[in-house]
Amino acid sequence: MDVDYLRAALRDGAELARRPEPDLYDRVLARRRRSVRRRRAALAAGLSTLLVGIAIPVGLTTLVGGGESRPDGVASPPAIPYADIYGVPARGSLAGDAAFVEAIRRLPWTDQATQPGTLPGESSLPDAPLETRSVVFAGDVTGGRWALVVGQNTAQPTGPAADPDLTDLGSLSDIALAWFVGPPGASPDQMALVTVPHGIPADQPTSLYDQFSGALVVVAAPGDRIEISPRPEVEADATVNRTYADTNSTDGTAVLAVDPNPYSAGGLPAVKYRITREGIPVAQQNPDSYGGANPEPPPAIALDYLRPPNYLLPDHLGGNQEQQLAEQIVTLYGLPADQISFQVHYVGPLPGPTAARVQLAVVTAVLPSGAVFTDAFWLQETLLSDGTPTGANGASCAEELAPAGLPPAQRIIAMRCEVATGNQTGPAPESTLVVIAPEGAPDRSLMVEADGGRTTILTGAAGGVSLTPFPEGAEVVTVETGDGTVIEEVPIIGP
Amino acid sequence: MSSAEDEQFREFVASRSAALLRVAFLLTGDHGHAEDLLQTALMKTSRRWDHLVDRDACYAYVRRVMVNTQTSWLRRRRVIENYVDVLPETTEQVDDASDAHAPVMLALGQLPPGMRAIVVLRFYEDLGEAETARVLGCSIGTVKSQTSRGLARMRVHLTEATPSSAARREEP
Repeated sequence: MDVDYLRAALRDGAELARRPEPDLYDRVLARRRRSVRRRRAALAAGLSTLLVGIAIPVGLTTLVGGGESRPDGVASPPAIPYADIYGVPARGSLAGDAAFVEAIRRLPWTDQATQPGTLPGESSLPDAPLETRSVVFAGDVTGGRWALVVGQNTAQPTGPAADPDLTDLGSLSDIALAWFVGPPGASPDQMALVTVPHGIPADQPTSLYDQFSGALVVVAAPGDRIEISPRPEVEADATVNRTYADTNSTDGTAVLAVDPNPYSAGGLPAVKYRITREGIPVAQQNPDSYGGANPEPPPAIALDYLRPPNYLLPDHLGGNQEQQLAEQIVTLYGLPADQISFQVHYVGPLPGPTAARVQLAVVTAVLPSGAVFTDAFWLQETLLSDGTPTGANGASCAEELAPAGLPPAQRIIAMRCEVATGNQTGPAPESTLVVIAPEGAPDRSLMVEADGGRTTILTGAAGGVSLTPFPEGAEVVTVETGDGTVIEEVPIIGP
Repeated sequence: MSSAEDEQFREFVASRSAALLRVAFLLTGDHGHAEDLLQTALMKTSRRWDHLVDRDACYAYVRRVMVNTQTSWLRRRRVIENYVDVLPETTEQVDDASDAHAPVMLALGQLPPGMRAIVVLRFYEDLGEAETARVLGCSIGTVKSQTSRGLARMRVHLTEATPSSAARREEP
């Protein structure tokens, strides 16, 4: 597989995409109107929700004015003073160990895991000549020993590929870096290359993070201010903030131990760092991570099952998805699992567009502030035409961060779940209104009003889970007394 | 939006949604999800349409919204794919493999969403590493490493899917 073949295959594969629906424009506007109505309904219900799963694009330089999604630092930032981060003497607790530093400098920059590819046109990886190398950082960190080496960038692109508008600015730089990691007290020959060597501008900071140990090293210029935010903070009213603490670094490096996350849920870590130079922001980002699965898998997270789970899929296809959802929430908020209480509202079947089984899991997490995060995810087995299962795929139904209030077990949850098939000629997605209700008053009714009229979801005191074809146009589920008085409006969350 | 802006947005949807849907399909590997992703991105864009100064950059704007939305799923694994260890041998697989692009699409489908997004942006949209990093809001080093690992994974998958490799014996 060379790059040309890959490009051609992707072009051919993309042609498999359907044509856009002729009424796509109308659908988009209708969806926007529904979204506005849903927000108004949420506000009316006193539940100002924050949809955390929808990313606001950053760096939108085409935006004007001070819109609410305008990212920090976009508006004509002042020029960042130049500082040579990598041309200074070695830093770190082992920087004074000349023999160790010299041995680290001599470690090879290639190994089996980072061998350059053989694709024609694929850029090769830098392998700095020994005489150009220097050790920038060498030190003991939580759970190990780390070192950062820089040297001449031998993989600078040439010709058209060197266009700075089209290629990586780091690859055009004169220097390249490589991180090495070893166990506690490691000798130089126990230090292993753990990152792909790559070019980096001389004034651009770098970092390395190990989620399982919590070790974090940030390398900036001497005099730079390095601040750390270990996690986002969720207030009781469901607002999300970050607090950055100064690491009091003086030599431009910060060696830190943040709370480890033992779960291999993937994704960006909760921790972020921020660097300022002479008061001017230089960087604010998640650190680069390395590592794979946790060699010591943690015990399962304690979950409170409000109803008995009804598993349709085996564990190896993700059937125990409520546990994975809990791990992902722990990763998202960077908190120890025992600081979050989890409730499993439902694990069971969900209607799908084909004969393939679909399993839905609905989990809530009460964060330390009392704010409640609701997460719902469906999994659908994938089948060959003869019905042989080949795996499972899935997607999120809904995510919502709601203010503190009623315990989740006493809340009504309403969401729209849309299950799609990947088959080009397959049926349309199946859309379901999922309503999960605790016990209530004997004369109550849960109703939904939609384009086709009013539908009764549930009546009487008994709680339960209702799965009904989604009534188009529905925005809220109302809770009514026997005389028709509306006592609560529950916004329908989801796409 | 004013009526003129509304008309401009309508024209944009009509003229560029097919190309955007192709990107969405590569990002998601699923027709339904691709359509949903595009609708979501267009809905968000419609909210900001009157703030978009450079209308020539609108395609890139929507693409960025799609990628960010999709990779927010990466952060929380919002879309996942689990596979059985060994695929059963059936004529359906052979038929699929007969299409030149099918093995690559299958290999692409093995990648986590973020890694898949990087491969799509780099090799379908032909973005440079810096622009890909800007779109994804990650470091260039992450783009480099994810590209390298993504291609390596695809190569492994393609090699394993090649019948001749199955017959290859281990060197003594």
